[in-house]
Amino acid sequence: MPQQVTRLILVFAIFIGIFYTVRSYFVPESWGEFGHYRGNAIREIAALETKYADIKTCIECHKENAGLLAEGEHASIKCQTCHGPGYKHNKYYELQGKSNTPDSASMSTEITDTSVSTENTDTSIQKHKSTTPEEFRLRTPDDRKFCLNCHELNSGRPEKAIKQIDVTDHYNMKKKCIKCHPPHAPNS
Amino acid sequence: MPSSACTQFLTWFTMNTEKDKNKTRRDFFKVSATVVTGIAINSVFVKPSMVQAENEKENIKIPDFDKWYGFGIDIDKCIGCGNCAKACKIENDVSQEPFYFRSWVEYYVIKDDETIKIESPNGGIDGFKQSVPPDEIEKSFFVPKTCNHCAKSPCEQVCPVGATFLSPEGVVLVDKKYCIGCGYCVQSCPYGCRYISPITHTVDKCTMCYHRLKKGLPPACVEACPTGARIHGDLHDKEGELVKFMKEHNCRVLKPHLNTKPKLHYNSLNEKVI
Ligand code: HEC
Ligand code: HEC
Ligand code: HEC
Ligand code: HEC
Repeated sequence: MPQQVTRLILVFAIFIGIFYTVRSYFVPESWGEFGHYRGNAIREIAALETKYADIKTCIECHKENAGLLAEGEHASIKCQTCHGPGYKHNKYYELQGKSNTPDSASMSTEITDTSVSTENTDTSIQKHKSTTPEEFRLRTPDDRKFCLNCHELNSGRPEKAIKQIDVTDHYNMKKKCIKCHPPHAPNS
Repeated sequence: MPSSACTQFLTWFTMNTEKDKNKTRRDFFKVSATVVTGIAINSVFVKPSMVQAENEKENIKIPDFDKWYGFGIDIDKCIGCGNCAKACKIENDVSQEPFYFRSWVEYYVIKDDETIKIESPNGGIDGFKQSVPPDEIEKSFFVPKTCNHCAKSPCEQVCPVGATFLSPEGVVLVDKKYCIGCGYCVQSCPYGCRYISPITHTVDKCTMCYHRLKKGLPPACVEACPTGARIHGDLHDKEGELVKFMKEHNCRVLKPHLNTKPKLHYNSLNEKVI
């Protein structure tokens, strides 16, 4: 082979070599594993923590509420739509052990008690005292606005999908809805 | 690997120079070139992780090449409660400021005089108030919107650094470590589904709750919908919920003429919706 060609090949080899070495430092690990992007980006996104828990877990601990809900008109709504994200709540009570499952009997009597005793004094509704620490407590919205967010008469709401009420013309204009409609089974 | 090759070469080289003092500079270059090429070939062909990671517990693959996810939205069932938008913000740590949304709801009012009023106060999170008197309304409805996860997404094509991509499941994702926040993709999205996050200063968008899918859970917006107006599923699964929904209803996508091949299928979508 002529000397020039050998030299040329050599120079090329060196440049290609340098190119690939430099490239291997700048191109991140896992680049191009699945396409023109970092394969690890997919894994990182997949590893993010959830905030809304698996609804099956709620049902395991709160059998009574879940049962009520499943038979009522609110069956299509899932717990966390009303109660907010429950992942932390779940973890907290799972660590406490299943034995701590809420005593449904005492809970429900308290609720019915309050609804009877505070029939007329709506502002001082006495709620079931939650024993859950603040950070892990789920919201139990009992205000009218919460229900009206879905049920207020609105021309855009399909009649078939949801029954709506005219706030100015539905029984008592001040009373909380849950006094007459238990949230988990609103028509009972 | 490359480092061991280097040490080998160095020992060999020093040994040789001791034996033969007549080594020329040319010899040195020759050997160097061979070694550098060797290292290069090494670094190109041996990738650190050739094996596909697998979540063994539930046998969920990351990523899963057999799936092709999409959304279905039934306008006939949407009551405009805004729970999907709210849940999305919570689940994905989206800024609570009313300018940033991965998922939001629009309220369309087509008036008698054929003008259209579109509103989305805080993305619908606080609910909607009927702002037009009933006798002026011809038709009104809610349209939930989110990323269309286009199969031919313009946003993916304009990214200069390869930070946004279509996952094998058909989910358009953003690599936040690689995003430089240039905003080209925000401009290119015909559906207005991207924004620059005030928290990370990178672009942010719907991930179809990829992290939830990989734990066997539905996306947060689907979980939060009280009427089942949102359907999430695998378009390859012919028996699946989404394919069934699309068979039973006449579905449409937004802006089909752009040929971005969106995977957000609306039932009863009014022609006036943009
Ligand atoms: C329509 C919205 C809605 C849904 C859906 C819902 N809840 Fe509730 N829930 C409420 C409201 C409102 C209260 C507060 C009642 C009160 O203050 O008296 C409540 C109270 C509770 C309480 C507190 C104790 C009690 O019995 O009052 C528990 C526990 C509870 N819900 C569990 C659940 C579980 C589990 C599910 C899912 C199976 C669920 N809820 C679904 C609205 C809802
Ligand atoms: C491991 C058992 C367990 C699981 C799982 C669980 N809870 Fe609870 N929950 C409890 C206990 C115990 C209480 C406390 C009851 C009390 O205060 O008397 C409670 C209380 C509540 C309350 C009343 C307000 C509060 O926070 O104290 C609500 C609402 C509630 N749970 C909803 C849910 C929902 C929704 C889920 C699913 C995401 C869920 N729970 C999952 C055990 C559980
Ligand atoms: C997230 C939206 C949502 C919220 C919040 C909500 N509901 Fe409902 N509600 C529904 C849906 C959906 C149905 C079932 C469809 C229908 O109306 O027939 C329903 C059904 C009902 C019904 C039965 C209507 C019937 O006769 O069929 C009543 C009563 C009711 N809700 C009252 C309430 C009250 C009281 C609250 C507040 C505690 C409340 N709802 C909160 C969505 C909601
Ligand atoms: C004084 C008790 C009372 C209060 C307070 C009350 N309701 Fe009712 N509601 C009823 C009764 C009784 C019915 C069933 C008869 C009817 O349809 O009018 C009813 C029916 C409904 C229906 C079904 C309407 C239909 O077309 O079938 C909905 C939805 C509803 N209520 C929601 C609410 C909401 C939301 C609130 C709070 C803003 C509320 N209610 C407050 C007593 C009450």
